[in-house]
Amino acid sequence: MLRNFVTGKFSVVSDVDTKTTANTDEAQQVLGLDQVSEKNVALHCHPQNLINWVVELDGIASSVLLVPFDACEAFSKRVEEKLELDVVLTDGMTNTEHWTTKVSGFRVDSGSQEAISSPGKRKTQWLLTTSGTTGTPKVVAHTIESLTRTTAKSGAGSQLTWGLLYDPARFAGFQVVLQAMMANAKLIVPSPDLDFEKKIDFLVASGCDALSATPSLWRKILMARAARQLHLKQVTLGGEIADQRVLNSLAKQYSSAAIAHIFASTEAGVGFSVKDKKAGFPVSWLDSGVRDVEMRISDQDTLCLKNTHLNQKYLGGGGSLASEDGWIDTGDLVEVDGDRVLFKGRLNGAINIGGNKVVPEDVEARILEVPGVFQVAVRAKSSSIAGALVEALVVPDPELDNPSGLVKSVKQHCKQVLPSFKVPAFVRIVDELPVGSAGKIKR
Amino acid sequence: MNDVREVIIESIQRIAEENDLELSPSLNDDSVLLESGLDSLGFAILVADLEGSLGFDPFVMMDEPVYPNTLGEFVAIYKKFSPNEAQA
Repeated sequence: MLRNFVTGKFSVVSDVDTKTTANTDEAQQVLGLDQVSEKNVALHCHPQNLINWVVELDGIASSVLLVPFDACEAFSKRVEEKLELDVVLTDGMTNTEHWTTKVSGFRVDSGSQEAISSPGKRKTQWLLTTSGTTGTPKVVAHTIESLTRTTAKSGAGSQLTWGLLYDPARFAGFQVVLQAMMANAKLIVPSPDLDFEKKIDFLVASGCDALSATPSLWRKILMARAARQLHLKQVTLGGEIADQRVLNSLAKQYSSAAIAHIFASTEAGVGFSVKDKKAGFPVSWLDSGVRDVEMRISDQDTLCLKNTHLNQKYLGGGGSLASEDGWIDTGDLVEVDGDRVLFKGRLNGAINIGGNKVVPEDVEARILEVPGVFQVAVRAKSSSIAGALVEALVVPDPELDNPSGLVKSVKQHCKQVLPSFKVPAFVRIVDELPVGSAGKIKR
Repeated sequence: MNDVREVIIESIQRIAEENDLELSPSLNDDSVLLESGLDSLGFAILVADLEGSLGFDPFVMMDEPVYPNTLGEFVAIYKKFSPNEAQA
C-alpha cells in the first residue's frame, strides 16, 4: 500500500495552493474517506490534489480512474460507457460538467475514520487511459505492484527533487509520481495551464534537479530560457525513441547528470532503462536479459519481452496481454547495429508524435470523409524536433475542378474531428499513391 | 536565394496561418520562440518546412544539437549551416 511507503519526506509542491476545497460548489457534497471505501471512483482535479488523493485512496477504494486534467466531453462519455463509476471526485479546479456520474468534493479529514481502520486489505485497481483525450480512450487496469516493478524502493533518489511536466493521470506522469513516492522525494508540479517558459521558471525556482520527459519534450525544454539554469542530477527520457543526437545534447547541457532512457509500454506494463548515454540497448541483453525482463526479437523483427509478474489486463473487452508462454510482443521494430539494438518504429505503422500514438488508418478514414478526396495514404515524416510528423498524400477525385483547394479542406476537417497531434502537418496532392510490388500502399 | 532570415519569417507566417496560430505582433531577433505563438508542433513543422525550401536541416547536421531560445538564435543557426553563407 502506498501510504506504507510514503513518509513525511514526500511532498508535492505547486505554484497554487490547491489543498482547500474552496473552489467546490457550496451545494456540492464533500465526501470523506469512509464514503469512498470500496467504491469505483474517478479523480478529476488539479495534479497536486490528484497525487495527494492517490496516496489516501490506495487500499481504500475498489478502483480509481485517473482523469487527465483537460479531459473533454467525449472522454467522459466513453469511460462512462465502459466503466461503472460510483463517483467523480473533484477539487473544483477542472471542468466536470460533462460527467453524468455524481460529482463530489473530497476531504481526507472529513467523515468517520472507522471505514479505514483496517486499510490495505483491498487491492485497489488503478485505471489509466491511453490515446488522446478526444479519441477513444482505452482503459488499462494496473496495480501499484505492476506499475512500480522497475522502480527502486530503497532510499536511493530521496535526495532528488523531481519536476513533473506530464499529466500525472497519464502513464508517463504516474510513473514519475510513483518514483518520487517510492523514494520519498520532493515533487514539483507546475499547474497544467501555466505557459511553458513559466513552468520551467517554476522548476528552477523550486530547486528541481531531476526531470523525466519524452525526447520531443526535452528538445522543447532545451529551447526554454531557464533550461540553462536547471542544475539537473538525473535526466530521464521515455515515451519515444531516444536518438543519439538528443542524448548528446543533454549530456552536454547537463554534464554532471545521470542520463537514462526508458523503454516502457502502457499496454505491456514492462520496462527497462538504458544508462550508458547511447541510443538503443546493448545487444548482449538479448542473451542475458536485464533485471527480471527477458528479451528476444521475433520473426517480424519486433521486440518481445517476458516478465514474471504480469497481472494487468484490458477493461471493457480484450483479454490477457501476454501469450500463454508469457512473452509479450511489444510491436516495436528493432534492428541490430553492431553491438546495439536500435528501435525503428512500430510494426503496424503507428506514428509516435511526441509520445502520442497515431494510427494511420484512423486518420485516413477521416480524410476520406472530405468531398473530393479519391484516395489517401497517411504516413510518418521524420522530424528532427518532434521525432515524427503526420503526412497525408491525397489523390483528388478526377472530376474535381480545383484540387488545390483540397489541402485546406482536408486540414480543416481533420482539425474539427481529430486531436491536434493527429492532424496532418503536411497534406500533399499527388496523382497516385506509392504502391509496393505486392500492391500494398507504401507508407 | 533569398536571405535566410526572410525565408524563415515567411515560413513562420505561413505555418501560423495554415494552422490557425496567432503570432505575437512584432517578431524580432529577441522574440522568444516558445512565446512567439508557434506551439512545439508548429516549430517542428517549421523546421521540416525549411528543409524543403532551404534544402537542409541544421538540427540533423549537428552532432550535439543546440536548441534556440530566441528567433535571433534560430536564424543564426540556419546562417551557420547554410551552404550559401559558407561560400560567401
